[in-house]
Amino acid sequence: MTEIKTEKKIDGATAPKLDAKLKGALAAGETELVVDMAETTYISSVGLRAFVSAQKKINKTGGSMVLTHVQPCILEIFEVTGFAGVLTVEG
Amino acid sequence: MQSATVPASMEYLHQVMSLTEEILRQAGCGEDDERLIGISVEEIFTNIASYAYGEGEGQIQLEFEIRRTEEKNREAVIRFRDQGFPYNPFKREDPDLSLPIQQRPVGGLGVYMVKKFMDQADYQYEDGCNVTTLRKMFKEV
Repeated sequence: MTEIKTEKKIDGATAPKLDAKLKGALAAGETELVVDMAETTYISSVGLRAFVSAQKKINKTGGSMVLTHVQPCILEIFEVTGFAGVLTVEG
Repeated sequence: MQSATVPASMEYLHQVMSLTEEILRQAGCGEDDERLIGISVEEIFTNIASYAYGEGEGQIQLEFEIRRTEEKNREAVIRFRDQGFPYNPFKREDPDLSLPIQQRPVGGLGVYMVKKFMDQADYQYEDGCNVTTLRKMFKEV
């Protein structure tokens, strides 16, 4: 299992780092990703794309990605963009 | 009204976001509205910085206006101007959110968020400029 902690803001500056961490873990053969989002209160589309791209890979190869400690304000953004149903989200 | 002109490059995103945050806080905007306006500003800035000038270079002019509507009600009006290729971001069709994840296109999500989060998002082409205007009401806290 690999745990990744996300930053306060997942924006154009920090999303590439998150994307690299997710891709790196999956490329290393990890099948169980846990993303701790306790600190995160901001996510723009570039951050959403990083999660979607990781989830697509996982769906193809098997495994899981769970987003944990998701704040209500982030959950609202997942819901508006239709990702609440396709990502595994825990409050 | 406050304004700023920055090169249309992602290196300036942080500067634009800090300025947006500062202006909204000074106007008494709460965290929830600030987040939604911030995301919308990031999405529009990113689109212009990434596509408006193609491989070339150019500028983005931003104008921030906070209007007092009623006692505690304010309206943030944020206007972006660039001289890039004419392009109306709001003409694009909304992404189909009912598609299974494997078939979901990754583009169009940013503009979709802007449309959902702002009260009004307009585009005009005037005097050789793309003019994108975002409006959102908030209560002073």
